[in-house]
Amino acid sequence: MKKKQNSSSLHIVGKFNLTEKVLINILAVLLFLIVIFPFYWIILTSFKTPFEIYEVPPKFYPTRLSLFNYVDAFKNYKIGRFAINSLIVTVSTVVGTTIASALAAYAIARLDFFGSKHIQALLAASQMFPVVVLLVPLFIFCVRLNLYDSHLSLILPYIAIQTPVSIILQINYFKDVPTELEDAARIDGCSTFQTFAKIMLPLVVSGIVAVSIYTFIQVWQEFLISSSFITTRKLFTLTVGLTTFKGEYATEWGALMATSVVIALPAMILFTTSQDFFINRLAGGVKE
Amino acid sequence: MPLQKHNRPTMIKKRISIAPYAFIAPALLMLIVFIAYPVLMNLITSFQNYSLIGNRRDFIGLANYKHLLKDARVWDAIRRTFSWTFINLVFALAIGLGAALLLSSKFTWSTLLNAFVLIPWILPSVITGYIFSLMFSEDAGVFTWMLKSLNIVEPTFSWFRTGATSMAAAIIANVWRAFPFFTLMLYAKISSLPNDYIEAAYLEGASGSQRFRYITFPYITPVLLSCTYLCFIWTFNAYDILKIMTNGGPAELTTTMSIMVQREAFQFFNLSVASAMSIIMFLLMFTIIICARLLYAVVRRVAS
Repeated sequence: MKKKQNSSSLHIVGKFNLTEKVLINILAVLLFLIVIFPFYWIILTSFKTPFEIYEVPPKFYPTRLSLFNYVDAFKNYKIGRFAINSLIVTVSTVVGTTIASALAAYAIARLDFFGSKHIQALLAASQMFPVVVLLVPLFIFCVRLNLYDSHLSLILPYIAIQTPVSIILQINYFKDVPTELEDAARIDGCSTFQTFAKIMLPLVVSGIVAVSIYTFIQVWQEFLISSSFITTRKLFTLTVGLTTFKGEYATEWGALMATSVVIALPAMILFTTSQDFFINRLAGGVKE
Repeated sequence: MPLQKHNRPTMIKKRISIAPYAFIAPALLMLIVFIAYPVLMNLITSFQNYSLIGNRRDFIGLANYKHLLKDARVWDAIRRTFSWTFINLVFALAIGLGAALLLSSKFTWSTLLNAFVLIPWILPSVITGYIFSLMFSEDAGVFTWMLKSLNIVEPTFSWFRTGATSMAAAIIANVWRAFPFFTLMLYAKISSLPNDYIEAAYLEGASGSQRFRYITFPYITPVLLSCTYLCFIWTFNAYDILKIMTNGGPAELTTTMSIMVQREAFQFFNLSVASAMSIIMFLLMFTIIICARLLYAVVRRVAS
């Protein structure tokens, strides 16, 4: 029995000789360094004084863990304001997207209506339209509706852009729920909406949360639309706020990297909490 | 009576109901107002002479397109977008696949490393742009310093002085960001490869490269193609990293089409010209996708 187990993992563990093992480990360390180094450098720089940043040769380890760059970013660059703006925009988008796409995903997965067969292909095709194609008309549109330079000019396009992906990802969760439950609810006299709200939603809530996290991460880091549509500094989101550290002659790298850490942390924490979803669902989704 | 009760739900299902439309209405409304209508408006605007500076908005037919296609800078941007996309895809694919294969050899800490590989992909692209700007910068750049102290480049070297080196720096940053996507997807697929296949090949005496060529590679090809397709769309439209690292410079030598559209619209306010340019960009991308699909279909038919 033991021998059999060994042989089933033969190709993976057993086949490498010592040289190959050494080579694999060297490559793995190299990959690790490539992946981690820029990220490490962000954190390291956020603890460095301007003098240390320009020091030759550069130091590869922190000499102190003082938060002066973070204080500078919050006090002098007012990134607290940008963070609140980012939160307002991102949370509104996530709420809007999740509600609109949960309703639509349920209808596409379970209800029969005109065009229900083709709508999924249509949603997939909409992914091909680059944001650049939408940029000019959305801008004209927002100017006409007096939305230009307001958070709504970001939130509304974001919801529209995120909704197709969100629906595509959510459909699978609704399809996984056994139809019997729904039938039972209908026999008991539930309306379509009651069936959706009382029976389906509680069953797919974990999936919906995972999809919302995906939406959150996407919107949290958006730059093209937010840097084009917002011109008032007070309304900047965090990613646009980063551009304010780059002056005409010098860049305030320490504070910029401290802000980068502030931006990256929520995305990373959220991602770690839903990592299984990303690997399984996205990998499944790409297969088509 | 019980029969009637039983029939009821099926009757509700068969009857034409407005409920489904009510469910899709919010999403559909958003998509029509903020995606479909703008795309249509974009097409219309591209045939006009609309600019925020003048007050006119007349139809001028294909004049914008003619004007753009006569401009050498536009052709340069198109050529640059192609080489940017191609080089990025090749490297992201090669490194991504290499890393996936490396991880699938299941060494002691491969699971841990797999979690770290995702970092570049989750890190917001704007931050990627800034950290690589810093690492490549002339005076404070750790990467530039390394190259200088190893005497690979002369002491006065700067990445952002010539078009080629600026582009190279941006490509390195973008590949760093893009390759984990391939690794993640391909590793998931390779892990699902049934052990028996490889074992059988092993017992038949197939070498490592043969096992890859005849078993692993055909098995992962569909995922590889879907990932390449997605990555192609992302890279072709990429904006953030180039905007932050080079802003199209020096002397417009790294200006791709996205950068050009954004600049035309939001710095020069030539909205119609920007629209026309974005339509050209979309048509190019669309043509490539169609050609690639046709080519794939032909290759498949020939192969089988």
